[in-house]
Amino acid sequence: MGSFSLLATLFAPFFGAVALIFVPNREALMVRMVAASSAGIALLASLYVFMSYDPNVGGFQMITHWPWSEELGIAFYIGVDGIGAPLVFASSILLFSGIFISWHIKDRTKEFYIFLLILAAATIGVFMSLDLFFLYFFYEMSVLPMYLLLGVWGSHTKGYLGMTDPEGVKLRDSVRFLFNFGANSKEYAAMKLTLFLSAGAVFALMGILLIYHFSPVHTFDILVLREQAKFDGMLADIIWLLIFFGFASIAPIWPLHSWSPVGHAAAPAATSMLHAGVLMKLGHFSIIRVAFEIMPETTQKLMPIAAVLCIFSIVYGGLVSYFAKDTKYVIGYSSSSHMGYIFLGMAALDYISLTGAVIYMFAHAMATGMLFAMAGWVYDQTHTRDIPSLGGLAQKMPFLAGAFIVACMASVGMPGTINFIAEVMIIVGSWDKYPIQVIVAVLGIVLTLAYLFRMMRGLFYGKLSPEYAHVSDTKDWVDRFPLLIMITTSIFFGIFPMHFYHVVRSTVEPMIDRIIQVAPVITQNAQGILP
Amino acid sequence: MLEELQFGFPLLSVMIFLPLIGAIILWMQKDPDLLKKSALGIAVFELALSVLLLLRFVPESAAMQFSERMNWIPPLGISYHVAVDGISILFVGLTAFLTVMIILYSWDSVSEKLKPYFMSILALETTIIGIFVSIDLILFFVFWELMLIPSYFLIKLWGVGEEKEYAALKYVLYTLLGSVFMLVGFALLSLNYHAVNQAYSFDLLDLLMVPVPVGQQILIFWLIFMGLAFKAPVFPFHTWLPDALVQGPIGMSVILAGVKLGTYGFLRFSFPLLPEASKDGTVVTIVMILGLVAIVYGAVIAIIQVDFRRLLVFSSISHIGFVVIGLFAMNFQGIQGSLLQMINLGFTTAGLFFLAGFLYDRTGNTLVDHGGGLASKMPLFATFLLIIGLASIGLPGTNGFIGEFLVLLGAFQSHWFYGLVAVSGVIFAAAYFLWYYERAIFGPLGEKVPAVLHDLTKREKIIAVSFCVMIFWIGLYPSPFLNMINGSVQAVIDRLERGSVASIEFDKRLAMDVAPKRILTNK
Repeated sequence: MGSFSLLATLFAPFFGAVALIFVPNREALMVRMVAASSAGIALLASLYVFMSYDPNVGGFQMITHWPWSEELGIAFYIGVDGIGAPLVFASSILLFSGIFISWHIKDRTKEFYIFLLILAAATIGVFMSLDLFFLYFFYEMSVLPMYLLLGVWGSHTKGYLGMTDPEGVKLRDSVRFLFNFGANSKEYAAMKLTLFLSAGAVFALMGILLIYHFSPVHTFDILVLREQAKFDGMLADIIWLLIFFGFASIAPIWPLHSWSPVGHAAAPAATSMLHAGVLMKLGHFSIIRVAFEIMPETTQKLMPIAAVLCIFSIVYGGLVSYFAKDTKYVIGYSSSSHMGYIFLGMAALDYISLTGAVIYMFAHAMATGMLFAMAGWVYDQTHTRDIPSLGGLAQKMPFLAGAFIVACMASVGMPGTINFIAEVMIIVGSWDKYPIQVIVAVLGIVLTLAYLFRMMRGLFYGKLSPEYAHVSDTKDWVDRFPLLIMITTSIFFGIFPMHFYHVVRSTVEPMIDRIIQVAPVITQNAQGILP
Repeated sequence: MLEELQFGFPLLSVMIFLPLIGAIILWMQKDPDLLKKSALGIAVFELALSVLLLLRFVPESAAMQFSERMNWIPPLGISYHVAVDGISILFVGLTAFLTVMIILYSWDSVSEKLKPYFMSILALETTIIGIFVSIDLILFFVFWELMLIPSYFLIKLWGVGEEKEYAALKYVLYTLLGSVFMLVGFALLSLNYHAVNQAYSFDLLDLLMVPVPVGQQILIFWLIFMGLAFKAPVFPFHTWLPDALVQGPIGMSVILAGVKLGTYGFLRFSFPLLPEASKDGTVVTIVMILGLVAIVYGAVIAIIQVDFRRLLVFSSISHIGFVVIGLFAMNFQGIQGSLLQMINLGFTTAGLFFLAGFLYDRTGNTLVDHGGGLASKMPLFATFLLIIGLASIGLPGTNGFIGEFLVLLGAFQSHWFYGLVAVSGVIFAAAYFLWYYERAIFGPLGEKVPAVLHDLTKREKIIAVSFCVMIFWIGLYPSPFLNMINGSVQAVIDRLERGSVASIEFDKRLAMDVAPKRILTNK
């Protein structure tokens, strides 16, 4: 039943996408219903996966193992541990919500849903892959739908911190275009995102192939590799750095982040939700799955790099958010800033902090998903994302204003939401090792409060401009439902976090044991745990 | 690779000569409509025969199958000997497939001198299938040279560029130059056979039974390399390719870019006949460096192209670099991946050339500044361009991913440095394709885009869908294709690893049926 649910979570969106090909485009309701029902199946299955994961047993559960190429050592090998299970759950929540958020898309609805479903399914696939080949397969696959979702359904950015670039279109025909960081068309954002991420993926692929080449057993099976592969010296450092920076580019860690806010801003609301909510976590997750599992010694040696870079992520992202004038830039940069917390939790290599980091991935997915969804609604109603020109929308949108407060609270880490638990764990767990970073992180929380409240005040309070007199609140259940799902999840796990904690902790415990070298790897293979 | 299986019916001979006879039938026809229909009928029948060939092929076997042999010039040991094995089988199917597509494409796009055009296309098919099924070196060489005649006329008479005559001549002269060297190499092989057996033979299976001294092997290797490298084309012998592909008609570009004759020759002749030379350190290093330079050079030049067809030419040069890297990695994954990648390029690069042709038929050129916002005018065209383009970049789920992954795996097994440089080609590939796509297909409607621009016609849809089916089939379920090639790839690897002398001993014992059970050395 468990492994069946896991397969259903992965394949329901894929089959939904295939089924949509055969639905005529004029049957708009049918298109949406097919998309929503396939996402609904994935949501229920992933809920079952998450709730039935047994923290007392630990390890990888709900395993499916189909050999694909014996001679290369590749198998379609999926299963979840305490880190994968919540992220699979988060992805399907965001997919399900995202389908309702984009209910009113009129332009090529069918194709939009096809790519959204493929994007989510590929993301879910990464979170459950136990084979490096398929991990890379799904990882690459998740990048390319983004190109179309941004390029076709995205929106242009009017201003970028006030530095508009009217020459952007003219520059399209020069090679400099590829390096023109100030451009602001959606096509530019799409291409920049794809090129950055595929470049990152290629570095990760180099690392994966080096692992395959230099390991004693020629296999892509992560569980075999983590027992048998031993790397040392220079080689281990090179592989680790390739893996780390390859995957950290999607996370995104500070110097590699520049594609991300541009991408967030250009993307349609549902895509931003999935992008910021789960796609960025592919980076952290893959680093944990590949670098932490296979190369624990090198991780202990080199992980301080992340501890240094995360300061820049937190401070830089926070400051830019504070001064940005575009709602999606604020949320996008705030996401990049919050990714720094996850890196801090991972870098401390402590039981509590790593557990906190994993919970934070889930918590951030909910909070940022809500924010992007609401920024998308405001944009659809007012056709602008420029904060100074908006104001007083609470008069017209009371429900949305209320939900926005909850979302800001969650994002800041208010007690009662799951973000609070995650933040506290990261801060407590990292204090011993990285006190300076913890102080920066706490100041970062204050900064988060400042920019989110500033944005909230700018959007919802103050004087309503007469040109926005026609805007309306979310009235239909299809518009409120997705917000309510995310709010409920965030608060429910904020109040009842123990199952969540045990699930994550059951996986973090042996992993940290191995990294700080108090225990060897527990043997586990496709048949389950061996005595 | 010495065993032979026979079929009881001369299927391969029929496949070779059917298009030629078809060309003669076309010559006698007058009605242009009937002409097209009969050309299509012949090509489809040929495709059906190739499907039969693929179905009756015994997979996982290194044997030469469907073998036919007749003496031709006995004093010189030249024979009409044709057969297919895992290395050549897929190329035969690919050639038949591409010919059908070319005839479909030319239905409305070629308007003048219809009769000689379709005759040339069918004659070209005869020679290409002849190249792939020849086991005799001289027979191979005859088809190799005959191929130039229809190619020359196709480029010269139906070329679309200003300098088509120059391009046709350049193509023929370059290939001839290379093949002279190759002929000398073949002759030296036969002389070596004569020194041992006191008789001449150009039969590949005979030559495989006689070891060549190592010093001579290196010389012969480079002679044959010249012939193959010009045809492939391997960097730096590629300079004829941009002219021929941009000036020539789309049909010819599809064949030249889609059917990898040159790199096929390495697997057919160089590796089995000259194993010591092929794995010689210096040789491998030189060829690997040429391959790596091709990958990076082709991709970087492709980025700055403003004409889509020139972009495809340079991307094709970059892809050949990948194929060469995989071949000279000298391990199972590398060679398997290269062979599959050669077939893949037949679907992706050729598919892109057809799409370039569709665009050319509508707007009169494929320059990027004549595009812009085409997605709104031609959504189907934009979709197919994206699917086939992403397959050529190597998107997971398409054939390009499988081939590229195997090649990179092989390259990393050979030396990690080769792997690292080769991987960088993937980034450039994404850059040149997406940047072109961004400018020509997305964005605001360009100023020079014609006001009336109809989307793909039914005939064009058939072509595009056929390519997409093959792309996803190989991408999602490659096993049938890999099973067909595995046996022969393993045989080549065995020969490379054992060296020629030990292989010949082994084959002799195998012939006497006392050989130990063959142990596969897959890693």
